[in-house]
Amino acid sequence: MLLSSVGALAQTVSGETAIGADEDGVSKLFLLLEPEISGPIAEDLDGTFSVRFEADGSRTGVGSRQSFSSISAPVIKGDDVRLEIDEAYLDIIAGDLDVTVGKQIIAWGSIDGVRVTDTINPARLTESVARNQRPDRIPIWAVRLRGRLGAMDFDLVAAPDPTVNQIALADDAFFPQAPRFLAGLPSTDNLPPITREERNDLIADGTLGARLAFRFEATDLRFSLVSAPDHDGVPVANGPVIEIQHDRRHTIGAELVRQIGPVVARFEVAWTPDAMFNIADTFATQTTQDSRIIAGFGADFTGPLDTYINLQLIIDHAASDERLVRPDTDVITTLRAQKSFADEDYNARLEWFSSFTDGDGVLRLELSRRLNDQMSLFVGGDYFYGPRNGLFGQYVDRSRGLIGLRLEL
Amino acid sequence: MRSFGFAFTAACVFLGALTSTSSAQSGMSGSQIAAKVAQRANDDPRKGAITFEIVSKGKSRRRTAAMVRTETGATHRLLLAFDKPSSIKGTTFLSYDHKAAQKTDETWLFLPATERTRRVPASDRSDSFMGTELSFGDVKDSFKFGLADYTFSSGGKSANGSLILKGKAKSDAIARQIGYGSFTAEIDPKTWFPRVINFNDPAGRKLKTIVVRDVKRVGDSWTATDFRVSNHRTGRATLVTVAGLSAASGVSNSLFDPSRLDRAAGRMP
Repeated sequence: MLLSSVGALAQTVSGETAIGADEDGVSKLFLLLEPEISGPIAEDLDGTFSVRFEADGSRTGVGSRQSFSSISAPVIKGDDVRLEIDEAYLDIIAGDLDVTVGKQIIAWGSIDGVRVTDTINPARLTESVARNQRPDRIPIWAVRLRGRLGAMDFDLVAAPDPTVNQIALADDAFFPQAPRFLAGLPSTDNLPPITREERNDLIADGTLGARLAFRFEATDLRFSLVSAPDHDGVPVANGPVIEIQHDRRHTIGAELVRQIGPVVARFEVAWTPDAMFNIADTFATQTTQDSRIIAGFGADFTGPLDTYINLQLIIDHAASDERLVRPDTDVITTLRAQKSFADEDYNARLEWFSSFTDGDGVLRLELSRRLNDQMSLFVGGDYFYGPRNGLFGQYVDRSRGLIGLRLEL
Repeated sequence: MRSFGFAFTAACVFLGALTSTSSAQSGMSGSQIAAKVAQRANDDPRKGAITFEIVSKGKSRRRTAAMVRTETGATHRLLLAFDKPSSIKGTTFLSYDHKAAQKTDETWLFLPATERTRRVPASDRSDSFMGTELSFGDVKDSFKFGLADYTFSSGGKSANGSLILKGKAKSDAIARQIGYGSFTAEIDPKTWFPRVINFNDPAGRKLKTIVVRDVKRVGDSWTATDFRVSNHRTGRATLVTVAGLSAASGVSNSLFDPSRLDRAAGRMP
């Protein structure tokens, strides 16, 4: 049975290679390959296994290694070359129950690109928001149970994998520069060494999550509770170094997705009563635990010339009596417009992120040309603007042009 | 149920026996013919492998998907899980056609690149489905014409005995939503399945022609297993074939659960 089923396994290879240039020359020289094998192993048992090979010979780099837990650490962990087990899971069907065991991605939430209730998997932030896939979730080891009870869907997750967000290395192009990400310390070359607390306590730093979903006519209503390490972390002075600490936090979330005539409207809100923040003017020596509320509103619709439009407003508020390093409230808008033409041989995409709080943003443009069903060529660029202490303006020197090739074999 | 446009319901569908006499049929009004088409049986669970061959400027591309459709009595459900080419592997389409007139039909799309399932806006129903000449609305429906969308009239009988059914969108807004301003169809009175449909766009210009070349029956429900969609505006055509059409008994309800659409592709019967 097992052997006879193996023939049905599908093998694919996806990948991307890209070259980027900014005002200082070549800023990105990147190769990503993700071979995957998936399919039925036996009756009611499917499997997926993929690896992620990436190499970068430029200032963009392949990111920090310290964010990975001991069980998710790359197999090859060079400065320029990495090999990771990407996804490796078994999917067991037991009646109306689905059990997924292994290294996997669990994508909750309905706001795009900004993680409100989508807090199970950490993400790769090695290029800030300037990534093709966003969020670029990092698979984690987990057990997931999904099923239906009456009119309610449930989704339960236990993940003994303390991996957190991967950021760029200190010398890399997209290492955070804004003081708000460095505990208020000025962004200079004289920053103390930045380390990350070890991510090896699989149970104490693991993740538990539960989501209940109800579906009414043309409406989805979901509630979630997640107990997990703070994937972003808070930089704290620890002797001669700055250590990024990832204290446990709890997030209570709600989502509402409704089809209203020609528009699909999305609303998502998350309340974290125990979020950690740096207190201003304490040079990373003092933090405070307070409430954080993130709310996102989004709408998808077809605009003029049959262009797909995705508009979002995100409000991120820290409710603290202390004066914080970060602004009390971040207000961010996102716009994505996408259109295919010439028999879908060409695809044009515009993305615009804008912060009302910091007065900055990033404009991303891409034109891709489908060469055949396996390959497409793309050319584009990212233009960061605004003050250097802003969410996006901190990368104002990282504006770049890009050209590359995507593969789906 | 709002049935938009014609309908291809995945491979398409319909009916069983007909008792009307030929003379009675020729005297039928457009609304009566449209009602017969709408009432065509479509509730037998079916599965098959569907291929879309997109032909343009002498070149062709193929997209294949596993298809399964079932009906709960209140809702007709269609699931398509694409497996080729690799660039769209895992993309999964699910539609719920609710029979109750007051309920809005629902459509979801799982895109592996985003790792999420999204509801498809109603306005997308006139958009191209996966790069084919079919619209999302065409795919979701079942070669049926929305009774709430069109004002119907009869065009008599064609030389081959088919009934001529004409429809005009009830309003400009509906026409924009479904992507069609009017149509003329040849209906086979033995099966109440359209064999040829000519669609005009909302401005009244010739838009698409669909020619059904073969149909197969599972239980009381028929499925179009070979049809061609020609777009007169772009010059492109999509040839749709369904292989291995058979009964799909015992399909789990969880397969049609939008919240588990990310796993549906690996579980198609």
